[in-house]
Amino acid sequence: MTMTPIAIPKRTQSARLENWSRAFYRFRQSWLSIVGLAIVVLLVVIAIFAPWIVPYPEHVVGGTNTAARFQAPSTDAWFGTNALGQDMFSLVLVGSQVSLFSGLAVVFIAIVVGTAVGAIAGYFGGWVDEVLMRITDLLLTIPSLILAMAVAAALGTGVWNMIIAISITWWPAYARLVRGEVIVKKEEQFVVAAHALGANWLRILGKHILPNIVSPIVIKASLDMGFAILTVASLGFVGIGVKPPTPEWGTLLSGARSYMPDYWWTAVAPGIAIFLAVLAFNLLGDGLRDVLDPKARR
Amino acid sequence: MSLEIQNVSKIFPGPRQGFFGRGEGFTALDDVSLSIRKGASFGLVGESGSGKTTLTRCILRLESLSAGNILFNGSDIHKLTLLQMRRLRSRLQIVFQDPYASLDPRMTVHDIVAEPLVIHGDVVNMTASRRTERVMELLLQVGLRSEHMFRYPHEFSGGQRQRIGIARALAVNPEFLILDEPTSALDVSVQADVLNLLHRLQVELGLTYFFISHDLGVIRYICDDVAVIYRGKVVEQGPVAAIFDNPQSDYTRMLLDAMPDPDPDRSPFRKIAAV
Amino acid sequence: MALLDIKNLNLAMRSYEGETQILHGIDLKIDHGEIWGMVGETGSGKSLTGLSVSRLIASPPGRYLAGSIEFQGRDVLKATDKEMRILRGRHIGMIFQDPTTNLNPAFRIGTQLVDVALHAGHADPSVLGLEAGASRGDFKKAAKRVAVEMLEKVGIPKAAERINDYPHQFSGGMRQRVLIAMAMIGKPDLLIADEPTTALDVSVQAQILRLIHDLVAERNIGVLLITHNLGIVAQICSHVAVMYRGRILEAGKVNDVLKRPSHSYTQALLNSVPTVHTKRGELMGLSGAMRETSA
Repeated sequence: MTMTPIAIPKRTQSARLENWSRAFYRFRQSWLSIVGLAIVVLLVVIAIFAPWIVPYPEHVVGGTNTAARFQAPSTDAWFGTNALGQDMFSLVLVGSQVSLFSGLAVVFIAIVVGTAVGAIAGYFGGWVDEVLMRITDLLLTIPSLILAMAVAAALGTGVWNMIIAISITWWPAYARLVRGEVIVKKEEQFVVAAHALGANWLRILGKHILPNIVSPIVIKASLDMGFAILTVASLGFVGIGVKPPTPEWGTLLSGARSYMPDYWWTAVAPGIAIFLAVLAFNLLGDGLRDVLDPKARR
Repeated sequence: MSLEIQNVSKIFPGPRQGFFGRGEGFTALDDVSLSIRKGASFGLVGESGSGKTTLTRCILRLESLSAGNILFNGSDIHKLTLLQMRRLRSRLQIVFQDPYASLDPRMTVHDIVAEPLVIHGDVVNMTASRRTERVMELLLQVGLRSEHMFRYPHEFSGGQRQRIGIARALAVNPEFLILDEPTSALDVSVQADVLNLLHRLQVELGLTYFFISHDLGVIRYICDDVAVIYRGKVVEQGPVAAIFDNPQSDYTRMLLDAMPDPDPDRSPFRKIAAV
Repeated sequence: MALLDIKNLNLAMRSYEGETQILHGIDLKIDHGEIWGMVGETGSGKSLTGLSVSRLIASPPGRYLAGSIEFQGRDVLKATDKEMRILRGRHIGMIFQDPTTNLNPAFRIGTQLVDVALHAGHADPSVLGLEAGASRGDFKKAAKRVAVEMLEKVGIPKAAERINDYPHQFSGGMRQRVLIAMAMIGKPDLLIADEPTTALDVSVQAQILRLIHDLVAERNIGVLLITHNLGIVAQICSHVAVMYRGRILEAGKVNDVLKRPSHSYTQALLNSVPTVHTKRGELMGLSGAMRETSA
């Protein structure tokens, strides 16, 4: 080869950057997606900084103030106080930590396990596929709430036991999604091209197939976050999630049950928190769906 | 001979019937024999369902054969070990029909063109910066510019993408190129440029082409020899000029007649159109 | 009065890059019995012109800056949505490129044809050979009869039986015939065909072209045939308009334009078509490699 120096351009990030700003343009087209994103960002910020911004940090760790029980919402306590005189606003704010963390953990575990199983089943097909998918089907038949109760009964209650119990019933959905996507992508011409170039299965799966199916996984994850938060709250409500005094939305709601309708604010505050969180993640998921469709690059 | 296809048949199994039975299979290729001269362009003409795609998949060993042999420089492709096959893939490359689907949308042009160099790293043995230089050379060779290197496929037009596909195929210095309808998804104006590029590359690099198309004009333009395939059978084959000027089979004649010619006087409908 | 009269049509589309003008002052007049070919490269705006005629461009992102599209004397761009629906089903027929995606795989061919026939019949009962105010039963019977007749007309053998088949039981060419039948069922005066044969084999393409040609000869309709294939234009069109970047560069009778092109672009386009007579090295591209077409 000749040694004439050829100017090699710098590897710039501009193309990638433009893709992002293009994507955000499409995301902006729907104001609902923006609302979803805004609430999610707010939730995350609250969850991270909650211990420092709550007005009554002592209530969060179990402190009570029975003198001020069942105060209606006021400037002192925005969401009122509960049966123990604790500030509902502080409890709800800190409650976001457990909800978001366990939601994220469930979805994360489900994605990791589900993607691995689904990708292998979809790529290799044949008996590997049969065996893995029958196991998946089997797990799909177990209702997550009941399994969570069984796990709680066997191993005791606690955040991690709850997360594991929910994850066990959640990864099969990802395995199915990923398997389907992998089977479709396997037939795409650029994958056939990689075969023809002589690439081995690890390279094809890791470099060509999986990066191209990130979108549906992210969309599903975002939609699932809402349901995960709901499931966590349900478990808290029936009393097998997080134990008091750690504040958690479901537990707070369950505690408020006996004081309805006189002291309605004790139920409304955590209720609205759950509602907003689930709604926001669903709106975000819908927005992402519009953005991440690689066919619509406009 | 560069590539010899000897009595190749491919029968796809029919649908399952009961536990062990199978319905009647579908014969995609029926006793196909072709020989492709080194350094020449061999055209394969056929309509959809004629088996031309199955034949390329068989050559690339993405599909097994039901009968026959495919010899590349004398060695039987379907009897090679996996390692030997991997070596062979670096000498036998393919350019696909659809430049929109055959490039990974999440990779930069650089990574796409460099991929064969990475995969065949044991043979090619280049450092990362040497690979980038090679990608650069290839891009210039196919008529793209250096600033295209770190862009993504969707930023290019169809013709430019097909050039990227050609650059990728040429990366490991192959001697044999399968061109699977490389211009059928392109505008005619762009097609002409790509055809001329392919011809120039063939002369410069001494490549052997196996050119698949349904467009007789394209085949006539680029190929030396041609075979016409219909429902898995080779209808006729020979030098392009002989076949096109003096077709022996009815099917070839029909294909030639059905080619829309841009000269209004050659139209079969002129009676009302010539107002 | 011309059948279709497009005057100074200017269309802009909004996207991430902002609003860009796609069509720049398109003028086109189509009369009964004429087959107008509209040729151009990808992104030249030929399909958008066709879609504009039946007003199938959503707004936003589309926006008409100026101009009018008069169909039988009425401006399509000013018609109400209801008028448009009648116009589309009854007076303007459309055929698209891909015959696979334009038929619903879940319904029988017959059901889909009868639907279209009923829609056209409600707009104008004479299409089904009925008087206004005929009973629902009569409408259904007549619609079925017309559907079978149309299928026979477009050359589908044993139409009365095949009407009960699903789209996947038809080959690509047969599906395109069904779509032509569907477009012709309302006895339209204008047929817009957007790359009707691009997805088909050449042998089937010849049959479809013959079918379109015969329909024009028989019913004296006007056709706007959008294609990138100059060969097709030379074969069946009476007139041709050459488009480039949203403008019509030249338009006129096929014999004039293709044999004595007045614009160098038309000549260049002609030079780029490989025919069975082209010698190696003769083909001239339009330096497409260096051209940045972001479309």
